[in-house]
Amino acid sequence: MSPRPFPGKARGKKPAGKKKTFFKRRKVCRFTAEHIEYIDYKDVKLLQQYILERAKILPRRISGNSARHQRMVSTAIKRARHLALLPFTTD
Amino acid sequence: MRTYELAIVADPRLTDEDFVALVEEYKLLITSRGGEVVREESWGKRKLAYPIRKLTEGRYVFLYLQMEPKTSALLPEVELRLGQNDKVLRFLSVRTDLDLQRAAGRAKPGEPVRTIHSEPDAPIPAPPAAEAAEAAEEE
Repeated sequence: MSPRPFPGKARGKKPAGKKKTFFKRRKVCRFTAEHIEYIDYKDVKLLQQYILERAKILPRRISGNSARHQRMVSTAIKRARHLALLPFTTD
Repeated sequence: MRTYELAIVADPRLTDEDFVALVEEYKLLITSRGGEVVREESWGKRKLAYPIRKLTEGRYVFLYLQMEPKTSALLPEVELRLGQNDKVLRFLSVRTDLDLQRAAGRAKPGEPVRTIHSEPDAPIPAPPAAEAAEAAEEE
């Protein structure tokens, strides 16, 4: 395994003004911002915000979650689904 | 010392006494073998997100356990018995000490470990879910 080329928060703004400029709002990981280090599968109210209408897990590219937090969210959602706290799908 | 959470979803048709007896049965099994039930959280009857065995409700209880690594060998047996018990619709056991340790290690010094669940009254800021849902629909 090679080390990650850009560890930490190196990602973010692209050099502006080059070629096409299209506006891209910066997404931030809410859990990083709030220093939340553990996401509980029992926190249904929170997890509901990370599922789509069809009960799919909200992708990271949309939520802006950091990889670590996205992983926590998705495991939590999967656990909650098993206990029927959250749906697998809607019909 | 390891910590675990054991969630049990039981048949809603059980009477209160039967339900307590059922939970007690598992608590006894755990404590008799050297485990400790630190805390118990009961959610009562709750609507299921999808029907299980044609039932639309379940009785939820969460047990917070603590035990030595050696003692944790009893968990497979607890799970086996839960699986055989037809009053139990679903169960889930999760080991939590590692995750919580990791969380504590990452928390800012001097600040408590933050999990959203630990402060249920805190206002939850609106996530990008609403607009995100729209974006996903377009795909």
